Amino acid sequence: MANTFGIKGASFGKGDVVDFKKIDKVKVLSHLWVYARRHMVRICMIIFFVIVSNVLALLSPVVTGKAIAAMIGPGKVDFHLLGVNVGLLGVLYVSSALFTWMQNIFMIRMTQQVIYDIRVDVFSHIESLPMSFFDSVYKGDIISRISYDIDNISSCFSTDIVHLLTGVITVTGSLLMMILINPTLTLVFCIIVPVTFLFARKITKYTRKLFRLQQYKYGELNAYVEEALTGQKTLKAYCHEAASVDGFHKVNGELNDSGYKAQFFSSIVMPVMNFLSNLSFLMVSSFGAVLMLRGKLDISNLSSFILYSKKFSGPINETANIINVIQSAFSASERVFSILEVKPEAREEETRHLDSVNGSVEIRDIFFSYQPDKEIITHFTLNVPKGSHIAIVGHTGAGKTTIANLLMKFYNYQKGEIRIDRKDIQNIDRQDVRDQYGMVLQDTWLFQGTVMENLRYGRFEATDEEVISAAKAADAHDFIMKLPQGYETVISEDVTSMSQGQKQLLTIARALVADPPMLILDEATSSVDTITENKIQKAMDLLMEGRTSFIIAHRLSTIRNADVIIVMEDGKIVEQGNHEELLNKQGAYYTLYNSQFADV
Amino acid sequence: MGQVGKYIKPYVVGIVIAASMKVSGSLVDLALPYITSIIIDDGVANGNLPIVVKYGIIMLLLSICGALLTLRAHRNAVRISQDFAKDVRNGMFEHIQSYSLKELEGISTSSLITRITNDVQQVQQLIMMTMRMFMRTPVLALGGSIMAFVLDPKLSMILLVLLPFLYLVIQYTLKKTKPIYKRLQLNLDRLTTVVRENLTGVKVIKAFGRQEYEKKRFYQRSQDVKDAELGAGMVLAVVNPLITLLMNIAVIAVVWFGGLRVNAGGMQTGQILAYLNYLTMILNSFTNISKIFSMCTRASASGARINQVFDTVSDIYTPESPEAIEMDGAEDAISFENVSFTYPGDTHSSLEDVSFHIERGHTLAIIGPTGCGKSTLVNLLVRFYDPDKGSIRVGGVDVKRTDLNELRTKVSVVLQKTMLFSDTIAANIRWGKPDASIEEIQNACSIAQMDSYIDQLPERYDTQLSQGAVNLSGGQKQRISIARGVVKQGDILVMDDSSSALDFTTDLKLRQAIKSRLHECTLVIIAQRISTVMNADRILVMDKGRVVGFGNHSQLLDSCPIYQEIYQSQMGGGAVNG
Repeated sequence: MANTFGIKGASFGKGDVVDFKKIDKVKVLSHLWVYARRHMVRICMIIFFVIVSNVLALLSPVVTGKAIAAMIGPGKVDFHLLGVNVGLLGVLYVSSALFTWMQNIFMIRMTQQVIYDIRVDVFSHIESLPMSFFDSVYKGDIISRISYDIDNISSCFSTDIVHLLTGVITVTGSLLMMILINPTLTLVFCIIVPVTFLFARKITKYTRKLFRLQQYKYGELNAYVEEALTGQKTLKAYCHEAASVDGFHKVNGELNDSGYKAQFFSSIVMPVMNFLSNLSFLMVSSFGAVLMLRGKLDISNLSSFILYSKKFSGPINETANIINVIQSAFSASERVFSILEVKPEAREEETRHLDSVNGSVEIRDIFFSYQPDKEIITHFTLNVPKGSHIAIVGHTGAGKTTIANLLMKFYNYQKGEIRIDRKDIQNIDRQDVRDQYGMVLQDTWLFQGTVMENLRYGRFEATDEEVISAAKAADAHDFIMKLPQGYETVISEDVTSMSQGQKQLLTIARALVADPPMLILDEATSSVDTITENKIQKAMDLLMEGRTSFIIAHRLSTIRNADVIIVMEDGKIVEQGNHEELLNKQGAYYTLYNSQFADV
Repeated sequence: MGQVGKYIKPYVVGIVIAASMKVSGSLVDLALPYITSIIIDDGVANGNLPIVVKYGIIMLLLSICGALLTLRAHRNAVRISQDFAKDVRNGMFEHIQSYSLKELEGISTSSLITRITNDVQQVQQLIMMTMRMFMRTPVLALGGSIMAFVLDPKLSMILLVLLPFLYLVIQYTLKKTKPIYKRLQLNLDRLTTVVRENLTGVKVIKAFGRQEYEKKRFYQRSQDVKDAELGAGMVLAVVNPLITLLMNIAVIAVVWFGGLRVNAGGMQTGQILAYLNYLTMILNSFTNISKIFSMCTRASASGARINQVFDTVSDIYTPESPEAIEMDGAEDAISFENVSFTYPGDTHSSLEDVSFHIERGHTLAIIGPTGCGKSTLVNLLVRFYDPDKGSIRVGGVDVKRTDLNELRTKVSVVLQKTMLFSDTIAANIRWGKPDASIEEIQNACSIAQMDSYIDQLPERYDTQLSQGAVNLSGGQKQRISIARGVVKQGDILVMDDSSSALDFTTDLKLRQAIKSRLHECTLVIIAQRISTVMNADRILVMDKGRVVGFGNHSQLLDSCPIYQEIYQSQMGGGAVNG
């Protein structure tokens, strides 16, 4: 849980709690290579187009020169020669334009495909990650990685790879030509090259850290905004606007600082490089002058040499100019690919599958803790025969929801065994395990979509009629019909005009539609009033009939009819039995049950 | 330009200075080849070492000058663009804080996140590139054209003929790309929405095994983003080669007509060479043209989205001269008079002609079926929304005439949906009272029945919560949020079904603690449990947005059918005395 960049003093959105592994340069490049490799044909085409359009660009001055050579003087212009060369120029220019166009098209298509692929891969990977990942990340930071960071990689890809390609061709070509003309002079010219590279290396190394920080701060800003806006209602209720603005100023100021430093230090590269190349140019001309005076070089060679040396430094300057884009793309890649390095939740031993289950569940001596030092569940053993209804009660924090989480394989327990139909779920594909249960949670979750889509989420094959009858059973039909477009009304979790209880009714209807072999109801009706609860009880009874069900509830009226009631305390079962038995015991359940009738 | 323009304004002078420094730096660069030719032609060719040395020194000085100018220009460009972005973000965030829930829901959280980050960045990029690169283009193009005109006005007619074509290309590009970029930003919003939903709803998605479905949803959104990018890219792909081709056609024309004029004796070959050089200079200035276009259009689309954030103004704000809430003198803590309300975009009203009042120091309980408008009462009480009809008074003062902060400080609300933030437990509770001492926090936690749990944590009140406090159980989260409401010491404490995840024993202890230790406080409790409600001084029974019963427990048990029904549904079995 190392956290090197945490914001100090901001009121929320603190740092990055996920243990993202730091990945090195080689790893980043190898990740990028995976995506580039898929486009080898395109890349070859692009290289071809770049070479062709460069050669065409080199040819046109020669043709222009010939055309001008045809203009000998007044009345003596060779119009035939002029015409031929002008025509040739026209062909050159049109084909060069076509090639550049093609090159652009290929480049854009490839870039967008790569970006799409990276996005999709990262998202797919996130979908496979364990619960603990989601518990510890900031949503805003992940959003920033998926949108902003990947965008950054894309802008580097599209413009700068062509620059680099052209650059490499020109630099090697010019260097060859220079050596051919005069090796000594080339040596003089190259004196400055190590200095240039050293400087470039130093500054890249230095700015890499700065860019990493900038990208990091960007993620933090995103996390801050996301958290602040999600909690806006609470924020307003507590007049926290001013404080949250202060906190934002702080995060924003830090982003400003790191952004300034990163951009500034990368922006000095270009002028410095330019200056160095001017310096080497000066040295070449002075030394060249000396060589000429000694008769070891002639004027035409010197001017060609100078022209080539200019060509040599051109791309280097240009690269220096886009160094910030490359750098930020690189740190962006680090942030994006580090997600891919997080291990998915599926384990290797999960090779077996479950088809149709009877629904007997055995839980044997389970130990579990979220954090190493704090045991949540100890010595938990429970035998659940097929079709029985188990109610779990107990004080808050006793570990009731944790049991549900373990049944669903949301977390891996440290010791013990859970079996469905006598098969150890450790070895079973976790999706197969989850498919056996219909789960209704206390925290509702609706996605942006129509009511119909939200209800059908549990089983896509369900017909409209099935969905509507489930909604009726969950007593949700009436209020759905009152929505502006009925079942076609677009809703989301943020929707304020729907009450919390109504959202719960929708999630219950969703579970009814899903029609699973077993059920887990975790405080499924906590925000629903008791009259409505009684109304949907019939539907629930029907749903639970013959199905193994786990019910977590505080309202003891809901669980009175359970076959077995277990009372949990501090992660252990302290009492077990049916309603009558437990009342007769006059123990924990007895106290719990009577407390609901107690007066203040 | 709107609000974005206002944010650029303070930097205009700086932008002009930085851009002109950059241009002068580039001009110095352009002058260097000229000096080179002197060094070679006059110095080296003639073996004249002093000339080489003299111009060498001039060149050295000039290149130092050029480097310094460019450095300075870059520094300013970075500073200005970063500061501008910071200002806009600060301004946007502050403005968003003044939104009421209506505006928030209108633009949507995901879109606001994109706007405050991505859209601001688009404008920032444009501003920086204007100073660092783009200014070169018009300066070089204009300079080249002027030089060409001075050299030979007749031949320059060719350039004039070119102008309308150039204009057409620019016009076409802008027209084509603008809507695409608008769509692109919108698609980014929708992409963000899916990512956010997946991060929030992971448990449901995993429970239903809907990963593949969610992936498909995400692929579709990414595809939309990709399509928009491709659409814009395809238009821009043609711009660069097309403009280059246009300029090259001019080159061909110059060569041909130049040949005619040379033949007629109107021009010399050297002049044509010089003329072509100027044309090349103009041409070279166009290398960044497609980048300029894409940045300009994208930034203008983003600018419009930023402006929309600023232009959206909430109609819920503190009036100019607010009335103070004097609880001490008031008879009623809260009164609703004929209040009706419909949520924006909804067709059915959520409250219909609601009237009731509660005396200071009393306890009011609100009960009723799901969706009857209980939470809506709270939303209106603290002005998350304003009612369509009727008035709401707190301490005798119409809430619309009070200072929003004062209202929300005097009325302490524990919301139904628990929202804790990634910070320490103490910091979360201090939301209620920023200067609360650790004793006050402990006291609030002991009322909320949370102190013994916190005391057994290794870092106690300094325990860090993650986003959404996933490391706590539902009941623990609720109790921290209750402590947050209690520590505020408002005159009115509203608990909107905020102990639903507590077991009965804890809930009972909580109510007893509130009753005995906050006895001066007016309490409003929204609950489902009859046991929570029955001892209140007044019970308000709601159904379908209307008041259907108002009185104490025994009165309602006699007269209110819905209350009877609720009572029966819970007390049917009755207490068991073993």
